[in-house]
Amino acid sequence: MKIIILFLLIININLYGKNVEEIIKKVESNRDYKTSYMISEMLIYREDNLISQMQFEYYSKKIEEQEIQLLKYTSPKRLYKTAILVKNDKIWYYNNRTKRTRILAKQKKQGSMMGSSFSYDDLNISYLKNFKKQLMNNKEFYIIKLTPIQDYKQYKYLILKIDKKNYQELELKYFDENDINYKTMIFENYIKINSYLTPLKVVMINHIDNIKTEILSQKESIKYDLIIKNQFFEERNMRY
Amino acid sequence: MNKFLANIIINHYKKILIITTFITLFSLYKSKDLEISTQFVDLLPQNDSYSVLYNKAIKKYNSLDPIIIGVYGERESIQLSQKKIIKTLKKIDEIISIEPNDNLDYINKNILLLMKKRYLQDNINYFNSKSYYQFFKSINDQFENSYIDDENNFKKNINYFSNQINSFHSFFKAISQNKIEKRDIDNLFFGDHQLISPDGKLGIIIIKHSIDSNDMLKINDFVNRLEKNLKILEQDNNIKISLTGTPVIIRDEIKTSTRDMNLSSILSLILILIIFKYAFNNLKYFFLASISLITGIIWTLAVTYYIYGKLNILTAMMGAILIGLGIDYNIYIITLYKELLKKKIDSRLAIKKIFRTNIRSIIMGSATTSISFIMFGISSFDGFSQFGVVLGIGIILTTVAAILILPSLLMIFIRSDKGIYMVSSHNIVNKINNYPKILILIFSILIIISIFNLHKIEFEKDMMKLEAKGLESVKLNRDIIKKFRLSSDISFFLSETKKENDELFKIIDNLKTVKEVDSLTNYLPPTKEQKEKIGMINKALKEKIDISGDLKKEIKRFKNNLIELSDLAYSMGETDLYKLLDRVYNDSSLNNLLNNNHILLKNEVDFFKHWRENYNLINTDKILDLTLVPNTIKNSYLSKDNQFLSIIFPTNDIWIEHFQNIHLKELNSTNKMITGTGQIFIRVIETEIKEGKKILFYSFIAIFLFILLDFKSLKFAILTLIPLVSTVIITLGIMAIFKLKFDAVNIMAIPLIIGLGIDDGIHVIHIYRLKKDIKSSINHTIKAISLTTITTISAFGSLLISKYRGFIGFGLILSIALLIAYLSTLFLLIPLIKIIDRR
Repeated sequence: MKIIILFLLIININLYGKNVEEIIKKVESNRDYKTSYMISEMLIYREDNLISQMQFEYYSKKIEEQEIQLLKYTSPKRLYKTAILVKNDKIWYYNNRTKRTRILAKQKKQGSMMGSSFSYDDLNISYLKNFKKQLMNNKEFYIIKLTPIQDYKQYKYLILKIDKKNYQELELKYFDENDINYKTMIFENYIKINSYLTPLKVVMINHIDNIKTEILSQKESIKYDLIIKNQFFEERNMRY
Repeated sequence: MNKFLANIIINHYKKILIITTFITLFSLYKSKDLEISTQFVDLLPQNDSYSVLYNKAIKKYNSLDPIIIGVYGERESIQLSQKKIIKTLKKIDEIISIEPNDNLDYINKNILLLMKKRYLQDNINYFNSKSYYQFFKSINDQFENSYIDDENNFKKNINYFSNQINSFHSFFKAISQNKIEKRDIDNLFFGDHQLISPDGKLGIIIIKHSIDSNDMLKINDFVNRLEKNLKILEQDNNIKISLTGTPVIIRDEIKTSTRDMNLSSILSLILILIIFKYAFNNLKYFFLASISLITGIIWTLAVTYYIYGKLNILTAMMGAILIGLGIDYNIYIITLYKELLKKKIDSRLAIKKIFRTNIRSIIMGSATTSISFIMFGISSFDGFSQFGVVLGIGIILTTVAAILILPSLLMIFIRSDKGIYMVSSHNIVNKINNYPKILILIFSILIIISIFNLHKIEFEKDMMKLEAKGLESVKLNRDIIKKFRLSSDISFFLSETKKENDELFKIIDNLKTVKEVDSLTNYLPPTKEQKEKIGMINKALKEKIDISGDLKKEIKRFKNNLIELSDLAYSMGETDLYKLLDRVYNDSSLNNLLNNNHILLKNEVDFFKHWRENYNLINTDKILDLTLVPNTIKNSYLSKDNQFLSIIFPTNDIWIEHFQNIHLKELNSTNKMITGTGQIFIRVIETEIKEGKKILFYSFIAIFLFILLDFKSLKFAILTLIPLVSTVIITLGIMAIFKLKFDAVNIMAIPLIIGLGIDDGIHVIHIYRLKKDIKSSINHTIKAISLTTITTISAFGSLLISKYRGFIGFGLILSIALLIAYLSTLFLLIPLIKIIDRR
């Protein structure tokens, strides 16, 4: 009897293991584009009061399985042309008012991006490669626990909620070493562009300082798989 | 028994009045010393772990909760007045320490060893500067490493950073005008220790005092004295001073709750007077009932003094509650007395008749209410048990006063009554008789709707929402959180050894929701850490550092750092900070230095002569131990039996529910017993919910058994409980639908409803069983139960004028419940009797 239970348990684990990989693959296939471009607005709220509003152009490209991102701020006036480049675990920051490009410390990736509740790490999390996955629930939604494998992260694990119908990410909860849900990312207003599912609104709520950041992308501006040269993502290009 | 009692009163009423007068005067004398304690810790059982730790810490350190003095004004007036404030504070004996001011010599001397390790490297170079080039280079390194690259650190240290920027600004201005003073250099070297918000509009001073947190009178007196002394400084200094911190909030609570209780008691008496005038058309009845009622309350106060010595925040409402409940017993007697007098019955005979027909139901009603309160007494939650015991005794004593004193007074002062009875019940009686099924259906629908909404009821975890609106202390508390990212709602822990204290300090200081841990570790870091720091200092001092270089480039870099930090502050929504930074980098003095280095270089020698003098004063190699720590520091953290106290300041408002949850969870994750206002408040709420359910259950059972025993009929016992169940469910339904949250005070209303809601039903069934006719029973009881409901609602409703919002919620829920109980008796119980008991 014990052997049968053990056997069933192993089968079950394998089935679950297989399922969870497939689910994640389907989630990632929704954003499996080579390049992307969009104009987005970032709104930061403290206790429901709007405290900051910025607009930026967002470019991304996958080069050798690494996603490179470039953010160029277009407003407000004082941040115009400020740019951030995230490439190969490094972050470059260009300030147009000082005309300085600085490479930021590695730990900055875990820190806040331009005062928002997002960190640079949150911009594009690849669930497939970097996490140990565990399907926690599959009743109404897929609920998957993602535990980072190698890199040091601020979070101990993530809990991802996925729509069962079309594998959209709905919510991502961040938990720290004390199992405290300190941040939650919410994906809303999905639309399909070139077969890729895109949330037009991404909200990050920091439960500790009560700051909420919304990134609202302009539907008309979103383009995928457009041609962007690798050189575009070089530090020296940040100032143009 | 009733006959015997009636005979005693009729034959000895004068003696009864004389004896009760003496007892009342003695009680009045004793009850004058009764205090009100507004601390939530007093509600918890003495053996509760949080309560034990709190009381243990108070015993060892007297006061745990600091007082924060807030100074509103412009930066310069705040800076100037802070010195005067500290001078005033120094004269007050009870003040143990003043921050920022005390121990500056020790802190400045050991600045490097007391600094956090991660800031040390850049700071060694800064302190060890021998030239402006080196000075600016080390500042730039520090800005880039500590702030631009680490935004979380930047957020946490915004106040320290803005102070640093202000010191630089003053320095640039002074040097541009060639007016540099020793004070400017000291401020740059040691930092400006004044705690002023980035916008320069609020300064704070934190004081620790020796007043026992459990001594309400002393706290009240100390805070009042402190406030009076400080307010004098407002006039000449163009500032506004406010106080906050738990002792100040306690003072404010005592002030508002005492005011609320006095005013609501007066108002409820006035309302009852108006009702008496309208109902009985003779104010004599009111005065006689008031004498009996007040006598009962005075006796209760004296008994409370003997049992507890003080009232807690819940029993503080006993005056209003007893007025509301105690007046009922008087009304039942007066209603019947008046009717009998109208029938030309002699006053003595009237009293005899009342004792024969009504006293039993009065005693029954009082006993059930009293039982429901006494059931609170079985709770392990002190808040409930004191409340139950005090009110249970109060009900008994007000009933005793009503039975002994009121009939005696009536026989003396009112022997005839021809007045008209103002309350007419004809219409209601007809409606109940004609539409019993419709009425039952309506109530059933209401009960079903309520049940479906019960899950929506929420709990208020913001203690500040119980406080009076517009309190200066609460406003300052919020302003400090907003401007300093620091809350005065502290938690604390005790450690047996320095090692344990240091280890916990390290863990807690790194928690996301903790702004600061005020601990001996700040003044005496672990020896191992000190050794590492000395190693770092020696290593840094041995490294070859360029003293000279491109100064202009470093000043330009400094300006760029200010611009980038300003942009960062802008994007973070830190308006005050980015405006400050904009002011500094746009200021002509900095640009002057950038364009004309020689202005700087002109006084480089003098500047660094003084700078080096400061540097030579600081300790870079001597390990600190307890013997070197000043006594003022030791006394704040170290008890006589060598236990270590550490105080935790949160980064945000612990009354914001989600922050509260995270903060308490983080503190719990340390596996150390940590307590404070937040923990105690949550514990009170949790215990109230748990114990409340228990009391609700036991009260129900006890009342049911009591009624069963009295009626000796299961059917009538169950019928009596029906309006009660309906009241509890519909009241909760109304709360859910209208989003009235439960809180630490109003939750008491629910078990109370049991005692209050049962009364009307008992009277109706009691009379029905005597008269065996529903119509005549309604006629006989409706006047009395209508009047008692109106008077009780008036008494609880008078709490709505309270400033303390906890009382408002309590009064509101009870008023709603009483109305529902009344309607349930008339329109649910009576129709049910009519249908079920067809005799």
